[in-house]
Order: sequence, then structure tokens, then C-alpha cells
Amino acid sequence: MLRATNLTKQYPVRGGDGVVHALNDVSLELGDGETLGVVGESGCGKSTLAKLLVRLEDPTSGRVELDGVDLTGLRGRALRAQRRRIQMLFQDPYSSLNPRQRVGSTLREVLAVHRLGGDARGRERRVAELLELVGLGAQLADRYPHELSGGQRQRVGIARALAVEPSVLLLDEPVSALDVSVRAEIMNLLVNLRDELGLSYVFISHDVAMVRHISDRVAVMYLGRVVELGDWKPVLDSPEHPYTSALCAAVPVPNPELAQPIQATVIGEVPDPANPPAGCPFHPRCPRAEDVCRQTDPPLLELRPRHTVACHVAARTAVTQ
Amino acid sequence: MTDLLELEGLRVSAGSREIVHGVDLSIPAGQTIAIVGESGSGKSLSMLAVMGLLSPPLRVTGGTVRLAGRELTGLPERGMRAIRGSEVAMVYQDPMTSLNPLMRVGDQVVEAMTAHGVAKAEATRRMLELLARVGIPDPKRTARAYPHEFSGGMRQRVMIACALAMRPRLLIADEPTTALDVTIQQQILALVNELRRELGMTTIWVTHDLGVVARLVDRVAVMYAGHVVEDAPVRQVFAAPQHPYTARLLAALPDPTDDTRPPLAQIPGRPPAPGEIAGCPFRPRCAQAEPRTVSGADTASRVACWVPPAEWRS
Repeated sequence: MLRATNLTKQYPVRGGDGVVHALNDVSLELGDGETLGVVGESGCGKSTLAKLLVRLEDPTSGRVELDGVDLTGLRGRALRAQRRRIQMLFQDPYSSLNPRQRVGSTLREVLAVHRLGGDARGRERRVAELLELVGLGAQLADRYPHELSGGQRQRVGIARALAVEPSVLLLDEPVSALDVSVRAEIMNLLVNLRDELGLSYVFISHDVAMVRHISDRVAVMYLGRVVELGDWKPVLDSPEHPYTSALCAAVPVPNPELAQPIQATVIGEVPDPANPPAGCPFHPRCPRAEDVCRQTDPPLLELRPRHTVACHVAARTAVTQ
Repeated sequence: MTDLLELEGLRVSAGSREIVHGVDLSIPAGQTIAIVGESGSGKSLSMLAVMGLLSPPLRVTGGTVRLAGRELTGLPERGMRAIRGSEVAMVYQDPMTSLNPLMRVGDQVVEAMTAHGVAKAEATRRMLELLARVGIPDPKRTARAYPHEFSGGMRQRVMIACALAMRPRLLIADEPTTALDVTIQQQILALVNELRRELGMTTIWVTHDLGVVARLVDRVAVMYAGHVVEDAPVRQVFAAPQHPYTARLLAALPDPTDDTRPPLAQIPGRPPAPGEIAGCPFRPRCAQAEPRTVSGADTASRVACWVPPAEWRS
């Protein structure tokens, strides 16, 4: 349904003539009712990916298609009509809600802009419906964002995204700013809405535990590329790429009985995307790096059915097995 | 073992509104404990009270803070300044706001020592050692950098160097990894843990995430709405939580070994506003609440709950 093909995004370096490769040849597909988890750390390109998918920005090259319609070529009214179908939810709804607008008015405005909900009375009804859908009482329509808790604000953010009846939601770190107990509520709400309304999600997060909880498939990103992609269980529980292994092993396990000490699973930090290393972008931090990794960027190969990995060492091991 | 830090009936208020309602906590020398709680639970305020860093309208309105037997509450700012950094140090969530943006990082570590009377030359020598010890590459060169030239992880390493410069007896780490990526978080947790052991430091981890501290601490104190509701050895807290709130908080985390991925356990409702509820502050959200919980939480026990766990655990 949503398909990104060879998406690349480069930004010029301020005050220089170089470019930052924010996104490098990324191809992804999202099926009907499916949740694709995108996991990676700062600078891996996951937020750039989100911006390109909703066409807040144009890719340097590559295509984004929704049900066969190429979004990258659309302008004006045709773009607006398609854009309605993909909505985005941000980490901090506080910064994306107008502080001087009551919740109800925010939602009514979205309906009015997109000519939805019929007349004023119809919109009023729809606002109440939307609030109820996300587990808020209709009386919350009269509140301002600052009068709401973090969890309630995130629910308003979800209601606003759902107001235009999208088929795809792009969730960019939707629970990262929330307390543990509120996080659980919002995760449950997202799962329920997906199943009830038949929505598809792109769930972008640095939180491996949450990605594992909600995703059907998972894409692991590093320095602007997808380095591993497949069904959630093989990717996160028996990863092939050394970066995925390191990332999963770094997730704190809520179990004091585990014997092994807290240990750094990967050394160093993510390289500067304006000056990426030669060969595999992960090789300077990789415990399994070999000569070939320092010279050649590994292609993304299907090592097992529905499981692709960009790693020379993993590819060779898979062949010899 | 003697207690290095003792909080007795610590109360913190913002103006006339009490936010921390009589916290008791004793931490033996050499122990590592976690103070766990969600936003507004009073965990950070209690620790800022220990550091003497509450700024108006926040102030200590009752109880005592003793460090190695010495009373800190009521100590004038000058006395507090001598203790801060040398006896007890704190690492915060966001190093960008606690490092001086206009000062080279090396100078900031040096200042952490000269402020306590260490000679400049000696402080400079130790600064280079410290930066190397916390994992900053090429300390001679990087000491001349400014904080904005560093990544979040590197800034946090500088903060740790500042905090440990005077080898304090007590380190308070307030969500030091919340703003960091997981692989960097892991590096910082491992680093602080190593240094703690090397220096024999008593350590308090303040966090909202039980998972992060599971393998780092001896003991966990859980705070809710300005009260310590449970205080127990870490294994017991995870295996058999005694307070319903602790149990709910643990259940809200996704189980990384469960392939069926059931819905996460929720805690209905919200924490009360300060002063909103008499008696047990968790009562409105508690499935086990009994009428008597209205009459006041049992603060003498290390579990502040009227209902025995055997009665509510399924």
C-alpha cells in the first residue's frame, strides 16, 4: 500500500560545499493493516524518512507511492488529497498543539480545512466522536493543551491525526516523552485503534522494547541506511547484523537475576553523516569487521526468506551454512 | 554498616503546597540504591534537597538530611558549597544545561577542583587523567573544546568527570541516561558503575525506568506522590513487589521474552495533585483499596500499604 523506493535525501552542509547523506537508498513497503517498526539511534535517518513519507520534504531521489500513486510528483490539490491519507503523530504533542486554541477548536479546524463532518453541527458531533475514540470525554473539548496531562495531550494528537480518516499513521517516537504507566495506556490505545480501524502504522522509535511490542516487521537503520529488515521476531530476537545485535543487547532488561554485568555492547559513537566512513558505515564500531568491511559498502541481501541484511560477514556465514 | 545518608521525615513544599510528604530513607556507606518514580513523585526534589539546591518557592519545610552524621538542613550556603562536589556530587539528565556553554570543558573540570582548594597545576594534571578515565579520546586536545562541540554522550562523560573530580563519598545520578541513545546509555551506565566500584562510592540512581536499574543497584525505593511507598532489596522488588503501585509499574513494562505480546498492564487514573487525597495516595487507583486506607498511610513500615500482598497477588 505504501511503498518507498530508493529514497535518498542529502542536505547541504552549512557554510561548506559538502553534503550530509541523511538517507541513503532506502526502500520499504508497508502492507494493509501492517505495522512497520523503524528502529535506530540519533542520526540514523529515521525522522528524515518520516518527513519524506508524509512529503513534508522532497527526496533528493527516489519515490514514495501510496496505492500505486507516486506522491513525489504531486502538487496542489492532488497532493492535499493524498496527504490526508497519511498522517503523522509527533513525540511531543505539546509543541504541535496550538497553546491558545481549545482542543475542540483544534479538531474542528482540521475538519473544516478538509471539508469533513458536514455543517457546524456535524463537526461538533464528529469532535465528540473523535475524543471518545481516543478515550477522552467530550467535555475535554473546552480545555486548553496546558490543562491536559502528557497522556491526554498525546490522545488529542491521535484524535487530530484520525480526524481526516487516514489509512496510514506515521508515529515518530509517540511514547518516548511519557511516564511508564502512561506509555502503557498509549501503546494499548494505538494497538486497539489499528485493529478496530484497520490502520497501518510506521512506528519510529529508538525504544527496542516498544518496537518489539507493536511491530509486524522491523527495519533497523544506521547512518541513513536500512541495515536489517524482516519479521519482528527474527530481526529482534535472532538478529543477523552486528549493529542490531548490539542495539538489542543494550536494551536494559528488567530482571535483576541476570548474571552478566552491565557492559557496553558497542564502542564509540555514530560517525558524522557529513563524513561517513568508507565501506560499511558500521565497521569502525563493529566487533566482527574484516578487511572487506573497511572497503566495500555491503548490499542489502535476502539471507533468509523475508529477512534482508546488509553485512558482509553475515552474508558469508549464510552462504557457507 | 553506618548510614552515609539519612533522610528523616523530609518535607519539601512549593510555597504553601507540600509536595514531598515526610520521606525516610537511610543509605549505608557503599550501598547502591535506586529511587524510582514517575514525574511528580518527588524523587528529584528530595535529591535536590539533599544537595541544598532547591530554589524558591521550593524549600525544605520539615525533617532532616544527615550526611555521615552531619546535619545538612539549615546549613548556610557557604557550608553547603564546601560539601557539594567534595562530599556529595550530582549528575543530571541534561548535561547541556548543567555545563557552562561559554567555558572550555577542561576548565570546567579544573574549576570543580580549584573551587575546593586544589592548586591549579595539580587540578590540570588530574583533569587530563579524569577525562581519559571517563573515556574522552585525546584529552589534551578535547579539553580545549566547548560543550556544544560534543555529542550528548561525551557531554555526560564530562559531567561525570566534574562530579567525580573531588572523589565524593556520595554520587547522585538523576536520570543521567534518559536523553541518550541506548548504546550510549549502556556505555554511560557501565562507566558510572565501574567508577563507583573503583572509588567505593555510595550511589543513588534516580530514574523513572525500573528496567534501567534492575542490574545496577542493591536496593530500590519506590516513590509515589511524594511518599516512599516501598523500600526493599532489588531482587525482592522485582520478584515479589509488596506495594500494589510497584507491582503495577512493573507490569506496565513490555516483557522482552513474551512472544504473545499481550496488552500492557495499565494503571487507571492519574497521580493525585499535592494535598488532594488524605490517607494512602494510591487509594483512588488501587484495586485493593480498603476503607481503612483512608485513615493514613502506614509510614513506619517500609511498605506503605494496609493490605498484605498475599491478599492481592493472584
